[in-house]
Amino acid sequence: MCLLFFVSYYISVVLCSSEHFTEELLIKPLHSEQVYTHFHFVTKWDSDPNTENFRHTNIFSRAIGEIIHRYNVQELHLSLTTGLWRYESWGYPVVNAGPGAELWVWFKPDTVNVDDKWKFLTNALSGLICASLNFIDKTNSVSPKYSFKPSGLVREPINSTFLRYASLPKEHACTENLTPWKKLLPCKGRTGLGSLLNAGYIHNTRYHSLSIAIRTVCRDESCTVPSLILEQTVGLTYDYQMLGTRNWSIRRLFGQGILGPCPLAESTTVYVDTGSNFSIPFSLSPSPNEWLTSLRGGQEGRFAKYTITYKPISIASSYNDKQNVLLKSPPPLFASQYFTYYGQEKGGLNVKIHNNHWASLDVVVLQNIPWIMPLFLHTLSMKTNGKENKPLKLFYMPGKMRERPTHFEYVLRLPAKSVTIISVEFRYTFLKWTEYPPDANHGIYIPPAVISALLPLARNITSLPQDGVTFSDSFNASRSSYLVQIRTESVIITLPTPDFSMPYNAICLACTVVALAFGPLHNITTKRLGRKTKDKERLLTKIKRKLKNVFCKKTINRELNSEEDEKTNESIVKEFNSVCENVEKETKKER
Amino acid sequence: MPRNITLILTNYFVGIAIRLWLFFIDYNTIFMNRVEISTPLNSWRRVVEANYISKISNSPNPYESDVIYEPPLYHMFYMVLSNLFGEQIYLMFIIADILTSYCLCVAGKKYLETLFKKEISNIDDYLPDAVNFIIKEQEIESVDVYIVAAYMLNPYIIFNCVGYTTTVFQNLYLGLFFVGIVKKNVFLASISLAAAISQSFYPILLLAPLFVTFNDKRFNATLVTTLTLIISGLILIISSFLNPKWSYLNHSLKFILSAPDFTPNIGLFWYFFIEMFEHFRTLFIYSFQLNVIALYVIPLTLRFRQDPVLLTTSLLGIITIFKSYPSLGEVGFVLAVLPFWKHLQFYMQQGLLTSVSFFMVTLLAPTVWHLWLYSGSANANFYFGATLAFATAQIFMLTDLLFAYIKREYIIKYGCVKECDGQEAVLLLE
Repeated sequence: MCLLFFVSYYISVVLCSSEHFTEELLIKPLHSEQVYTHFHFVTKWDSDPNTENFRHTNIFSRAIGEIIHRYNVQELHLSLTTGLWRYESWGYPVVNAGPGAELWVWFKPDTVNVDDKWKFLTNALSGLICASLNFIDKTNSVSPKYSFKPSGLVREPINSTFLRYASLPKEHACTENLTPWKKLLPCKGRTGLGSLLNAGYIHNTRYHSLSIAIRTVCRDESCTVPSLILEQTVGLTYDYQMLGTRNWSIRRLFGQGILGPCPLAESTTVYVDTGSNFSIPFSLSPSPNEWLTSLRGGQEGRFAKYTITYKPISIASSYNDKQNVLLKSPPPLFASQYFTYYGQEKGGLNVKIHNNHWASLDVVVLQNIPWIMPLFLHTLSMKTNGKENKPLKLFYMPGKMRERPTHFEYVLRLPAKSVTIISVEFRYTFLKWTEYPPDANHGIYIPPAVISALLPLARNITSLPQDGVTFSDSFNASRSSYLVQIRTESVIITLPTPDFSMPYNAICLACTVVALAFGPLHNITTKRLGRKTKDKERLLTKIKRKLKNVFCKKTINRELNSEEDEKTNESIVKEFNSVCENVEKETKKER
Repeated sequence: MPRNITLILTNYFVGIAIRLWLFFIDYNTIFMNRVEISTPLNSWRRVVEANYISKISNSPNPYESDVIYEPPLYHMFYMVLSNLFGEQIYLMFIIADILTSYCLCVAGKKYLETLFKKEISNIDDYLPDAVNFIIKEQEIESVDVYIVAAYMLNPYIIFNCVGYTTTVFQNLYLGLFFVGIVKKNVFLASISLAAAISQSFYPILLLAPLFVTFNDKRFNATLVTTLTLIISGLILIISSFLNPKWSYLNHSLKFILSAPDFTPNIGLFWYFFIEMFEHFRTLFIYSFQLNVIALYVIPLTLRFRQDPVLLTTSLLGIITIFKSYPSLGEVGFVLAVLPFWKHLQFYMQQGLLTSVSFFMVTLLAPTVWHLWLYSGSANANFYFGATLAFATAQIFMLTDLLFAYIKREYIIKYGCVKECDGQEAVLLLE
């Protein structure tokens, strides 16, 4: 009975529902000493996000649905990354992600008060995946003008005021993010490809990146109705040195084989990119179900396809002992970011972009620079191979203390085979002692620059086409151009720090100086100058006399009472005389 | 040619030569970047930056970010100047310095002449031995040489000039103000003061000497004061036409008063408010601002109402010591006015202490700055100590000057008797 119920439920969910789930794994041995694996989980929901109330979902994550609904989100891209993607030797990943946490969101065009929505959204996401995204607010977010376009279906004209982009380079992906992230999958981490994501294995990589993307796509060819897509991806780069061998296998990479597909998935597929097989030959066991050849943008790729059934499987590679020495073929475009100058007074922020392509490329560079390092834009220099290169477009919004970061975005034309260096000077600021991050002398992370370009060739490109949903959509997907958005390193700036143990001393000393001025000025303005007899008595005798006065007061008082009376009488007479003299003098003067 | 004129011209010549030399050496940018010389309020680099960003395509409003803090009218004035002079903008700074020193020279001479006339006319009232103490004619004749030297050869003023700060212009307005009050020229005094007030707000204290100067039968002091305020209000209104949003006020007045930028300078604010406990911040901002704006102006005005020039100088001294973003150019201006009271030198007691402190701190501050930010072997406290010492030196100088003034006042009246009731006596405030 129970089984019958389960089977009927399963049939109803999978067959009758408008929600479709696919899971894919790409294993790509890189030309260098690494193997790249990419998990691609897609939930497609044939429902118009504008009219959907998200009260009921079957396999689509309801938590995500509520976020979309409540914060009026049209498109959301979140990534949590540890490590740096080495574009120069690894090519381009399927999903680009900057170091740390990165979030960019398009709000629906009818959103009022985007900044508030943005603040609430980051707080909600922070709770959803246990990352400190709540540190994202308008002091570190910008609305890029040219860099980010909606990657899904848009009906209205694009208005970048509904876009927010922020990056927290210090925020690393870790186990506490992986667990809630896995909970968003229909099969959680129990079965299917999700079960391969064991924290113990995936955090031992050179690079790992979790990401969530929400966007709308066309439901069918005619594109009359939209569908909502939730893409969850994990990108991992294993180092052969860390694996101990070049012969990777699913078990070696993830600690276990694939036990079976997720029952809710329409398809569970593993692809192995054998493009590098020509230079470093390896064989696969078991042999794949199918060999695919993909011709994309002049690039021929060969993939081994494994369709996962309820039979446990572990795909393994074995390399021949003979190794060829490889010539790297660096991708057409890669970049880096670094500081110049020394000391903590002023510095230079530099972005270096390499164009290896045989033709010129137009790139958009976005720099979201925190307000703690105000730029001097008049020192901006953009030089290609030593010659000045004028930007085709330039957008600059200077930062504002404690309110807004510097938003710097420009379009450059990079000549063929060139290196372009963009440098600008900035100055260090001094913060309140409470504004410094913990471990202030470690420094503050500066977000990476984002460089976007439409490459004419698909060399090194693995990303999906804009109309694609699953990884298999990228096979034979030749387009006129291929979008890449590469990120540079994030850099650390160490601001000059005050002495954190000094607040009382600083307050006391500064107030002392104020008092130093107050005392004499008060005297000068309120008191009158006069002559006074000099006290010739020595200090010691003075003290002695005073002490004597205190201790022997009573006896002396009694003895000297009569004498003192006489003395005081004398002094009164003297005083009277002097007053008279003074009065006489003054009357003389007046005359 | 009289000896005086030769000396003055030599001073000018040497002063200009030093400036030109410093403008052309490679290390010129050092002066521009020194925190003691350029503050967020007077830095020429910020003017250049504001010019630059207002020319780029999306033309962000420089007054909606941390670029420039002087009112838009002043910014426009600097823009016009830089368009006019182009690469030769340094000439503008030198010309402004020459004009300022000339103003001070005229003002100083006139001031001492008036003092001399006053003391000669009152000579019958003074005690016989006071005649030795009243001002002498030859002193008046030589004072202009000292004033020009104190301005043109003053290292602080030279640094200020070659560091391209807008304090150079502020000093010019103040120089004109001195001429205005000494010569009792209503329009010169009120217009120059209004210009200074709208530029950096604190000169609003100088309304007191303005009031005192014109407080006689020929003028209506209240009217003059109001006129000044109206002119400075007009400058702000014209500014608001240039920059359609009033947001610039947030970026000039509010910035000066709330001092949110903690870049070190020679003042007391920066470290104090870096280290301030958050819940006391507002309290101390108010007390520090009241300390400079409201605390001393009334007592000093009442005490020195007979001498508006001294009152102006002492208020300027207080402003420079306690304002939120002081710079060396302002200290230099106060120092350059000191030769007006060369005749008080005899009565001053702490000349050595203050001059040695000035000298030491001037050398020490850049040294500890380097140790802190470049070598990493010192910390912020070192520089804070240097600024404290500098403020203390200025306070000693100011109080010494004022004390010398009242001492001289007393001695002229009551003679230089060092005895009281047959015993040795000292002069004391009581």
